[in-house]
Amino acid sequence: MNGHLEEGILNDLVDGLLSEAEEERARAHMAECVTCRREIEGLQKLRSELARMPDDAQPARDLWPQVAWRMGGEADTGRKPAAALRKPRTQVRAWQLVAASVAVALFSGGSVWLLMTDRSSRPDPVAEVQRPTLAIPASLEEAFGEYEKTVSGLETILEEGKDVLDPGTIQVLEENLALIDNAIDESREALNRDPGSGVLRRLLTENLLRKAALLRHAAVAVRAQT
Amino acid sequence: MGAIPLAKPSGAETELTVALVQRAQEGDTGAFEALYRRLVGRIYGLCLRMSRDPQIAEELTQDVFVRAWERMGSFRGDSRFTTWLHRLAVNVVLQAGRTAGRRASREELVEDPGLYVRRVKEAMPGTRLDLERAIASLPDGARTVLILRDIYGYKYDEIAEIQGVALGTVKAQIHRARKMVRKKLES
Repeated sequence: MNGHLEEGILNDLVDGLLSEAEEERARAHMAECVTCRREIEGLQKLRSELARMPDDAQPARDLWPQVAWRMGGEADTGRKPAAALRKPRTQVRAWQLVAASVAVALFSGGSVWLLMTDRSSRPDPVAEVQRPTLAIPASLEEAFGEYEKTVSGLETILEEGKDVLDPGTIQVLEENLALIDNAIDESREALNRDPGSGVLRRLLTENLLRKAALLRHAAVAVRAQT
Repeated sequence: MGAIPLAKPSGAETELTVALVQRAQEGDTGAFEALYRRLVGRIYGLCLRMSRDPQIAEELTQDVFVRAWERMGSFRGDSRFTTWLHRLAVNVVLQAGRTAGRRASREELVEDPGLYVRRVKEAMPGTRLDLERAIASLPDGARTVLILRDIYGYKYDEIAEIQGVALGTVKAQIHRARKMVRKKLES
């Protein structure tokens, strides 16, 4: 003990976990020992500072639409039987839910779409065409379909614009898309094996968004040339 | 010298919360959304501090509420709903951390500590940023225990049970955490 109270005793004292006799011994020691007194004062100060820290934090965006979506219902519905909500209407895989939630984020005009937006000062020739203005899709199938439709629309623009883009650019785009598609496949398969994994959902979400963002940038480049 | 009281004193559940819980258990999504609106700040705050990543915290917050909805039927009212939900959140976060650890132990989850502190400043105006920064710098185990014990007022035996570790381990971690935070604040 080196003549001072052990760390465990000091912490237990601050936490009120010592027996009466132990606390009395500790107090008697502290009455004589400036070092231990300072130590206990420091611990008490920290404890009260931590206890006063706020425990509420506001997310940067409204998370409810995606929560509601994953609950299997719609964000703006009224009452629904719990049993119906607990089970999605159709047998859907976890990765489809992820794609659907990406679609919800895109269509609700949330921050995710803003992240994908070209922030250059030049006017974006595609943004107004591509930026979805729909309300939140009414069903999982619709949302998943909307994601696929958006990606497919962007792929079409890219396909049609291949003639106007530099072959080197096309090659880089295709290589990157292949890499992202591969990553999507891998995370989707992993999510099928482990549907409850938040980390895998995050990976898949990022990959889906990355693909949409890359296609969108490519579409911007095509439109700028035509 | 008395012990410093638990960080967040427990009180009675408000009548409104009780009513909302009952309606949500009957399948009322509107009531569940009202619960979400009332409690999302507390859950997101926990997820943000535990994960140190704003994006992951948002996903974890969603996971917590989705899981809560799925398990509404298992809430019997033995504890306050807010306590039940908070405990669920802790489990979701710890489980996610374990999964992440298994999958990518080399990956550092705090990709941008500056971003984390900026986000905390926006999300929790009035919080002590020096303390937040010091807490965020702690190793996982020590950080978790410090957050649960000293900010959210969990008891040691509850933390040991949640984490599935011995009481002595929890106490050793908090001693380490408090020492490290004090050192950090003094430097």
